[in-house]
Amino acid sequence: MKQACALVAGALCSAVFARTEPSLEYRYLDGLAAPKRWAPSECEVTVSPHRAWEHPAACMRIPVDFHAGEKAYPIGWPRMYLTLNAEEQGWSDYDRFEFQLFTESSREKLPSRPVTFHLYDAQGQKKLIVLEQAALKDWRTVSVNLSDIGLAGPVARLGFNINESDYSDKDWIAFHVGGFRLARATAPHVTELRAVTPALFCDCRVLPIELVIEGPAAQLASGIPVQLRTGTRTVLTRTLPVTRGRQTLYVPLDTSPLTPGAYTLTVNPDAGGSGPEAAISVTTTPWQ
Amino acid sequence: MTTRFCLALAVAAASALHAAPSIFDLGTADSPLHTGAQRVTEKGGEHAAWESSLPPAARAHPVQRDWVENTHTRRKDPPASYQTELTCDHIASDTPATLTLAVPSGTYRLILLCGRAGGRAEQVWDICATTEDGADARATFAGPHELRALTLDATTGTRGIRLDLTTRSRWVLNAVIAVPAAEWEAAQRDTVDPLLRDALLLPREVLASWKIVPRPDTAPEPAWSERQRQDGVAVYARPWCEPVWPDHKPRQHELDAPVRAFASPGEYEPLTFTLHALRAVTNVDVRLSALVCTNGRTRVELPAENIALRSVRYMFVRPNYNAFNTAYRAPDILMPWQPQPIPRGENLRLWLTVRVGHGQPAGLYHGRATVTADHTVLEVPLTLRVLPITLLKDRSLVYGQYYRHPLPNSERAPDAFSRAWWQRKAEAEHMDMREHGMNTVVLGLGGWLKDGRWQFTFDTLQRNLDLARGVGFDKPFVCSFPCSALYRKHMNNADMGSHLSQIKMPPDAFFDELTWMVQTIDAEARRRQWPELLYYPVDEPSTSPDSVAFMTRVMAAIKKVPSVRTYITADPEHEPFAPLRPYVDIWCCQPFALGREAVLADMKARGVEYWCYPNHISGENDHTPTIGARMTYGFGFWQSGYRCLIPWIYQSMAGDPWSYLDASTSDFFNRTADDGTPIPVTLWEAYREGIDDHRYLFTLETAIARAEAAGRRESASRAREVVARIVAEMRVQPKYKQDGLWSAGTFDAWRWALAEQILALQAEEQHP
Repeated sequence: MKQACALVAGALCSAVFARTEPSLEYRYLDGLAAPKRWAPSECEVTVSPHRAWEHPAACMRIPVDFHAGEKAYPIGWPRMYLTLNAEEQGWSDYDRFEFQLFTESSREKLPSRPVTFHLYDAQGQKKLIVLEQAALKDWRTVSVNLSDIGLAGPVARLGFNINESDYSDKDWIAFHVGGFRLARATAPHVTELRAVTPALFCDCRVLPIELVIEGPAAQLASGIPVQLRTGTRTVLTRTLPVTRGRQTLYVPLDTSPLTPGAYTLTVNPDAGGSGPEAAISVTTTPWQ
Repeated sequence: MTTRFCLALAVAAASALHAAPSIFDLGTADSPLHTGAQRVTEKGGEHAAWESSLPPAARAHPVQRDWVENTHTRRKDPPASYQTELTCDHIASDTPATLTLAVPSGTYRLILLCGRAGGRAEQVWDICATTEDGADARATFAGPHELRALTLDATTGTRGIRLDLTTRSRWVLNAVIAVPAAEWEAAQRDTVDPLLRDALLLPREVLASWKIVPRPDTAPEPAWSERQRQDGVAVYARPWCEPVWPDHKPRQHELDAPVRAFASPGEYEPLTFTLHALRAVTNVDVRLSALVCTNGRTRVELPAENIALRSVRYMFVRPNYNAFNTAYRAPDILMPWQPQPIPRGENLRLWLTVRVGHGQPAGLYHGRATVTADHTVLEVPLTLRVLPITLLKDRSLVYGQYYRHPLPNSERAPDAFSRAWWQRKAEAEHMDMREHGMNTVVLGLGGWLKDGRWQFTFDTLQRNLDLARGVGFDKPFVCSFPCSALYRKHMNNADMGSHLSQIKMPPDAFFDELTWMVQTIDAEARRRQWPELLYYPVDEPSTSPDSVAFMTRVMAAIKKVPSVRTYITADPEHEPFAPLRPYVDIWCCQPFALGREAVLADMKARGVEYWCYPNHISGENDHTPTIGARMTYGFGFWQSGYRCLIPWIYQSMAGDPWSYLDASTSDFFNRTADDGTPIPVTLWEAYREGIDDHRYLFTLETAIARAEAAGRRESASRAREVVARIVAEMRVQPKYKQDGLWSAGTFDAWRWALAEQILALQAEEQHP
């Protein structure tokens, strides 16, 4: 009976979480593309001739010069920073911060660490993200899940920099950045399931999984169903409380040990049992 | 007579006063006096008197707050340690002395501040303070910056409180705070703790510029059982490589979770559990039983003496070693166990390290930790499975440490006790490194010009090599040598600057003499039958054209000496370093910068080696990436193709080694106990566990090769599938730190999966 209730509850809950890409709402921060808002060093910021998602972009042009720049550090870090206005803050109602990046250069190939994006809180704590996705003459989307930023306070300042040591003397490089926006899903949606526990002792109490959930926090109250299967046999079904953003969930396991073998964990399964899934190897236990 | 009469009057006068804490500020006659304190000079004071065969000496240092320009780095540095009015001055001596303090009669708790004496780095301070009742408190520590607070209880005699101060080298005393016992609780809160925070962490006006940013706790409050509420303490278990933050709540499933581990003979294995205080606990003590296995009819013990009991100390840490103004409390140091309180809502993590002897029979062992928390007694079951596996180690790999060698301090020490202390520190640390899997250490050869001739510290290097080889270090030694001194000779005493920031190309004669220098060192090394030295002229050169041009000629000059190898700390992926490639034998970079295929191909093609100094898990910028450290040293290193892990550094100390917020850079990694032996940090234990993961992998790969050679293909294939599954589930990264890692428990599950295959192949081999 208990299991039936759990299954029914799971079926009801599954209707809350979207199984296809939900619609997204955006709040564009076009002010971030204004060149005069940026404080550049060893680079130049101008209005970009390009548009990103039909929104304005700024161009950060860097002439790499191993002899110029700061006297103590001639091979330095060309950079630019921007402080958010009060009305540009308050990101907590959103899931992601996004913008587009278009790169041009005198080089034929970008280094493995082409440019770094910075987010700071008011205390100066920072999150640095290397934009490895940058590609020459191509637009790439930069999408940062806000729960991954890990700052104690709200984001107050943004920045970009390159390491000149990653480039060659006399290279030039231009980054067009624009379409700055905050994004949020209109319905709860699992955007990522990470198999953080590919191996597990059969007598463990819980199975940790890592999820990213986007969507309105108010709609998450009923939790999310997860299912553990081996082959076609469902071993357990649970509904777990969740929050918005990246989180580790601890799936409670039965008190009796699992049979060692290969398992699949599915999050928010549909009627056919499909959904984001992760493979788990359950091992014997050394302590019996 | 006069002194005794004066003190008697002073005691009488003191009795008439309100019985508040008495603060005695020891120092010179004109050194800053803490507000409300009584001055005590080397001659005594209005309420204090000395007795000694030789008068002690008083000294004072300025209370400095200004930052000062560092000409090498061209940045401003804060004071190495912060003085307060209480700590800026002191009285010290190498002779015993008795200090009598006139206080109203009664029982007192005394806080003695000892340290911050300035002076020589080689001086080891040793203080033993004994009261008339026979209570004593001791401290032994080295150098000019460390400060200790000793606590002891005393009852007044006829003349007040008498403190006998004895030493094996020099004692130092800055202040005594005497608190009537009945007033301890209020005085601790209102007077003592603030003073100690000023003295031991940062002065309040400096601390005001720092923001303490606690790590947020997102876990819901668990449902406490009735028993836990009654006890006021909850016991819980979390995998050792996952941090326990000071004031975080346990997760529901962790409460009363089993405390268990498995290990093979020869291993050290952590077992941890944590006490969460549901109400303030004034005193916790822990006793361990032996671990006992009853293999059928046989009873086998793993004695309690083989289990080191420590507790995790939380330290205020910086987010990066050279960052300022932001700090948070993080789990860090594994202190030798001492009974202690737990504030309400906080955690006390007990860290047991079991040493499984080489002859320990296999089996399932059980024991217990008996925890006494005030009036509550809890039994925590412990389980250890010892496996019948002889673990191998890939002896071709190099595990090293950057290291500040204590032996030169021993040579320069001002007294016999200090000399012996530094010697013991060096020996104990080498043993510790060996027991944590190391097989080399970074050394240096000193040199200077005297009357136009170079003098080298060959004998010092000899002693350092002898010590290292004595504990079994059998790999080449990275060795710096006096390249910067040579540069100053040719460049009119100019400094090369940090990362060669001030470098100018020296004349050809510099490079010729550099070749001669390396030839001379190499000849001496052969004469003395030294192991291979890897020549390390400059650390972390920058990619500026001047730096690269200089380094290219330096490395070329070294390579003129046949058969010597060069070592550089630089990222070969940086294009500006391309001119160096023909002259560098060992590239040592911070991450696993190049991928496995590129590394293996280049090593095969050119005979070079790729090493790594993984400072992202050395404590330099985060004291808690224990999962990342285990991954770096274990599965990550295994997959990388690199040949060595050699992080900076075994112990980094700047200013007071127990305050991480003073000085230009934070302290990090292993600490030192009063007897000179090392106190580990959690990251250091993670290195060893990663090395052990690697040993299980290597042992299995060896067993697979043996099975395949013997035609046992089916079992070999099953074992290979497990290894392949691990590789498939790894997210290979240049740096393993926080993101993209397995959960803590997965590492043990993989290790067990490897062990199972080893056991299966072993069984098949023994019983074909």
